[in-house]
Amino acid sequence: MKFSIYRFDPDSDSAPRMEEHELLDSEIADDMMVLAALKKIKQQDETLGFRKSCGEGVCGSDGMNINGKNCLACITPLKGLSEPVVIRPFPGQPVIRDLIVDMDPFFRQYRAVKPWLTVHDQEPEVEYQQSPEQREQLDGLYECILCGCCSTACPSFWWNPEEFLGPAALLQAWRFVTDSRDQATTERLQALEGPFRLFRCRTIMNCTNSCPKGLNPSDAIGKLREAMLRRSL
Amino acid sequence: MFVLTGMRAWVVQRFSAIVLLLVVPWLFISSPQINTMNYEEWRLWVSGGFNPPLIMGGFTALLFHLWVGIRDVLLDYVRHRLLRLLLLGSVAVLLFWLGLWLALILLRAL
Ligand code: SF4
Repeated sequence: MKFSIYRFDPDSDSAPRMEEHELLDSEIADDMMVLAALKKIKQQDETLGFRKSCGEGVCGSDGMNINGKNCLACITPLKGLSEPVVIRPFPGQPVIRDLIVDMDPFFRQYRAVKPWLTVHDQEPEVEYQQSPEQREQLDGLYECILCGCCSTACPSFWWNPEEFLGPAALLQAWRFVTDSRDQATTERLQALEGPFRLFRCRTIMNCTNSCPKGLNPSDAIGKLREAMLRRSL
Repeated sequence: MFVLTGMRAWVVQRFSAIVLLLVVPWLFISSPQINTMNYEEWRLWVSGGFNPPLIMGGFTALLFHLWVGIRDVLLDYVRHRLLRLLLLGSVAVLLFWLGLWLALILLRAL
């Protein structure tokens, strides 16, 4: 199987290049994932850089662009991918080396939405209580593993990474706005005002298409808009 | 008009789009021969019935819709802050002037 892999070391290379690699059919198992192939390629060339950790789509560290789509290498099967498999780092992000990008802008935006419960009342002595319906509101939101596949697939995030929060952070903003235990809804919605933070979203929906966990940031952004509209009426 | 926020601009864009969807087809239907009309016929058409508020409302919606659309493009693609401000200001002045010009034309026709 043929691979074409993005290589760039800003310390020594003047420009990025695509490097060809090949794995023998005998080296490729039927149910093999892209991450396993990358590990084999790294055995041929140990200078190849990529992030990885859990290997089962939970840690979110091996996000990359495979054949034009952002996904997690560890849960993307080789089977069905067209050849050569073109592997690039997340688009529009500063490359640290090869497939490793600087995720700082992404996590800065995540922290900007204050992704923790804010309670103004005195804290209860026992646990916070939620009805099953209130808890259900968090389904499709709490599962986010912060891999960055969505935000780095978003053209608005490419253009304005400093000002536009991006789909992942906005999904988290909605996760706390809709949480029955959180008491900072007004502050959270007010913080999203302005032409950039939320309203650079043009509903392109690349985020929803690329989320490896099947989440829908685009829908969350729509719900945030709706909540802001209702609040302003 | 110049300092539209995120939410307000978003609402204005949707609302003006709805107005345009209603008014533009109606104006086309009600003036099939606008290309061949002489001034007097055009004046009668412009000032007849509900046409004055519809034309003014339609064009106001168009100008606001244009403003939000162009503003979005400039905010997205012009990174240099001073240049962005300059272009936004120029567009706002141009659209305001177009609105004023249109109002004058309509007032003269009434
Ligand atoms: S919403 Fe999906 S794609 Fe975006 S960071 Fe979370 S898990 Fe990754």
